[in-house]
Amino acid sequence: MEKIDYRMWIGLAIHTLICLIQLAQPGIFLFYFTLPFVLLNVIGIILIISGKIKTGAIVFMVGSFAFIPIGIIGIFGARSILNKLKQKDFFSEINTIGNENN
Amino acid sequence: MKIIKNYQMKDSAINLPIYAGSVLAIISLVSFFMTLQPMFLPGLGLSVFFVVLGFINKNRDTIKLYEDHMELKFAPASPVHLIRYSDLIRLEDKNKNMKRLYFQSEGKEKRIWIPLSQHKEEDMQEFIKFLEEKIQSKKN
Repeated sequence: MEKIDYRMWIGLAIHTLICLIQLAQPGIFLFYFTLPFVLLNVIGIILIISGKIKTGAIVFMVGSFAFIPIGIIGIFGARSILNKLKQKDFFSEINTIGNENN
Repeated sequence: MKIIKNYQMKDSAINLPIYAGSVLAIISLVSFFMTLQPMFLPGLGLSVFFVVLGFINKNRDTIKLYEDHMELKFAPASPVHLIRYSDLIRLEDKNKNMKRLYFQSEGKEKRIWIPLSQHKEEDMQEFIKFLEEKIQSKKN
């Protein structure tokens, strides 16, 4: 669970709220428009928990694009996960190269 | 890892979205109170987005130089590029505001735009000189 950035939870909460507010509107069309994107957010979080961090973060980002400008919070969270993963790979590569030389 | 040098965006590039967001906020608020139509409120959300983006950029280092690698991140939500100096291939001119840096990553040749106009001119001259020295020293 600690893999998930706190901004992703905030993003998911806001997106769900926006989606549910549409139910109270006279036209229900926006509810059906935003619901798939909220589902994409949920699927992304499930994928990250189940270990597929890269796929999950990308799915979460795609789900957040529909909610820009407020969706940028979720995009920042997912992007920070991807960046941390990249940094981890990069530095483990440096360490293995260093060990080979020794 | 110790940072040798870091570069930030220039002040005018940081302040532009803050000013633009403030003007947009004023316009949308005035038009909302004059007409009382809710269709002007999304403009307010967009202006908050611009202002927040400007304040995020204020404390952000776009280029960090370490002893054996560098870290490039030009926009708040863009991917971070970690490049070892030994992986640099070449630097190409595109126009006066952009340069294209080619580097090796995971066995593949990749490229990245360096937006020169976002940074201070003397900073970028120093950075480009530093990159060219690294590429030259690798060739020799």
